[in-house]
Order: sequence, then C-alpha cells, then structure tokens
Amino acid sequence: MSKHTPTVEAMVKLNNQLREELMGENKTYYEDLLTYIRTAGLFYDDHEVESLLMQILQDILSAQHDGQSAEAFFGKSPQKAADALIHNLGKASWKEIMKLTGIIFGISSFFELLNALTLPGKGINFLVLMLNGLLSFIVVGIVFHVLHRSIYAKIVKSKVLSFLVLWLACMLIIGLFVLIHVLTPPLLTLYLASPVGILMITILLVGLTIAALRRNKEDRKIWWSFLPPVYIMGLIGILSRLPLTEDWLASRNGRITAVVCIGFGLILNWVITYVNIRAEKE
Amino acid sequence: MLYKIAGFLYNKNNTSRYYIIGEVRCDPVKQTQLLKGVLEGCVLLIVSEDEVYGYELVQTLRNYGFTEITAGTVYPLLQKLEKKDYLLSRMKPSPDGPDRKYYQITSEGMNHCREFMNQWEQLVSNVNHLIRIKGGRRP
Repeated sequence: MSKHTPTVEAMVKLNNQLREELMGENKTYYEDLLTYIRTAGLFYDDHEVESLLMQILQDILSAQHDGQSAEAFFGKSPQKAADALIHNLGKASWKEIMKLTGIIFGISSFFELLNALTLPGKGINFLVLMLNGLLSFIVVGIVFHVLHRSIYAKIVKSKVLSFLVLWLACMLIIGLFVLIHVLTPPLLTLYLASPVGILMITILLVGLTIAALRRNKEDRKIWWSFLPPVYIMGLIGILSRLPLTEDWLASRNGRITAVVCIGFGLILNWVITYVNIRAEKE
Repeated sequence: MLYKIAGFLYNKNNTSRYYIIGEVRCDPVKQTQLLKGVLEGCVLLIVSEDEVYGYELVQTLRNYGFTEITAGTVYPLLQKLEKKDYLLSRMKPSPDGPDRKYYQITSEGMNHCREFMNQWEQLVSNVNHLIRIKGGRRP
C-alpha cells in the first residue's frame, strides 16, 4: 500500500457521501449488503472491507447510471455473494485488534470508574473492571452477530414481538452487569482518599470534555448527549467527598436527591440522543 | 452432474466422457453452474487483453454471451484470482469521482490462461466426438 491509500475513516466518509446518489431500491439493496458485510465479524481487515464496499458501490452507481437496477447488476442472491466475499477477507492486524479491544475496555472502564467514584468509600475494584470489559466485549460481538443475521433473515416478526425480545435482551445484559458488581469479591480493590477521588473525577470530566470538543461536527452530537449524566455523576461524586456537603449527601434526603439528579441526567442523555436521531432522519 | 464437465477440465482425466450437454443450452441456471468452472478462464482471457474494473468486466462478459452473469458471481471470482496471484489490482483515477480498482493479469495468470485454453480445446474436441458418435440416438 502506498502512502496515498486513504484511511478507513476517509473511505467510510466517502461511502456515506456517494451512497446518497443511490436511488430507491438500489439504496436499500446496497445498504443491506453494506451492513451485512460490516457486521460479519469484529476482526476483519477494515481497510480491505471498506475498499471492497467502495468498489461495489462505485459499480452499482455505474449500473444505475446506465439504467440497470442494483439487483439486475449484482444478482438475486446478494447474501450468497456476500458470504463468498467475506470468506476471502483478510484478518485485521494485531495493532488493529489491540486498538479495538482497547476502545471497548476503555469505554466500559470509564463508566465503571465513574460509577465507582460517584459513591465514596466503595473503591475501585479492578476485578470488576476487567469482568465488565470482558462482558462489554461479548455484548458487542453478540450485537454484531444479531445485526448480521437479521439483514437477510426470512423470518418476519411482528413489531410487538421483536420489541419484547429486544427488551428482554437489554434486561438480561444490564442484569449481567449488575450481577458482576454484586457477586465479585473485593479482591483487587483500590480505595481512594477523598482528595484523590476529587482529583480523579476532575481528570475524567476534563478529559471527556476535551475529547468531546475535539470531535468533528457530526460525532460531536453523540458525545454531547453523554455529557449531562457524566457531569451530574461527577458533581455528586465531588460533593460527597467535600467536607461541607458529604454528610448531607450521605443522609437519606441527600441520597434521594442524588439519585433523582442522576436519573435526570440520564433522561437528558436520552432526549438529546432522540433529537439527534430525528434530525438525522429528515 | 453438469459441474463435472467443469471438473473435467481441471482433472485432465480423459476416461469418463459420457455427459449430456443438450440440457445446458436451454436452461440459464444450469448454464451458469456449468460456466462457473470455466468462468475463471474467461475472465483471465478478457483481462489479458486490457486491464478492467468490476463493472466493465461484467458488461464485457454479458456482451460476449454470458447474459445471465451477475456481479455477485464475478466479484468473488476476482477476489479468488487476486489471492492466487493471477491478477494484480491497482487504484486508478476515474473520470467520474474517486479512484477505481483496476485488475491486470500477471505472468502466472497468463500461464493459467494458456492451460485453460488447452484444456478447453481438448474438452470440446472430446465432447464433439462423442456427440457425433452417440448423440444420434435420442430417447
């Protein structure tokens, strides 16, 4: 590969742009194919995947330009063709695998850290951190797999049934995370003194804010939706370590207020995400 | 059964010649199945003349009589041929937008292509001979 080969991010962005030129059924056909191939696995060579998708997109666009539908050009069995293509894909390099694993562990650890820091006295349990990371990894894998299978699935579920199944799955996953917290013995726990806790929270919040500001316009919207709950939790964490407010926060009223505020923060998160999705759909 | 004709090419085994290909010409699905084994050779033949990109190749194949061929069949084939080092790909700027992937044949590809042409001629001659002798007696 020469230095002029584009990065994966650049290719994805270009793909998003070009895809808009597809019309009607062609767009659906291609987007199904795209999602199917992208969710085929976590550890395929991203560059190869995106090159392949770009190549197919360009050719389907040429076909559309000549009045040929995507189905007429690509064939009536896209799944079979996609399976053959996926079979020949190369695996990701170790660097990429490490990067992906790092990101998943990083995000899960961030939230776990935040949770641990909000309540003083509990300490940071590294065993829980690792188990959470592992579970997050498994969940991501499962989500990919389910998405992958659902693209060309012949089973037509009713909306109610699929909603129930989704709800059940989410309950199960959240339950597993809670279970990890409840059942893991405090083996590798680090207990922090109040000032250290405050420092850590500040670092986390500042770090998150800087990372959020560094994103470009589109990504920023997603990041911003996470700021309210994180800030609120961080604030509660700091207040529960300051001598002025820690007693009140430990009291019943204080704890209820804290929970309500966190809940409010999560609702804000949901609202902002919802607004973003609606804005994108238009 | 029809696939065996394609397998015949790669076995270089001249013993069993009792195949019925009359069906093939009438049924497009069976035609594709037969041709899958032969398609590699045809693709190499086309690329040997000039480098192509995906869409161009599918159009060319259709112009040469493979009217039912789809990109879904051709792409995995191109992938396979590239992995076997019979084809080499490179990105070239295209008149309408971003760079496109062009395929060109390698020297191993040319050798494989010549091998295919020899085997095909042998096959055609064998089958024609068989038809001449046995094909007269239709049920």
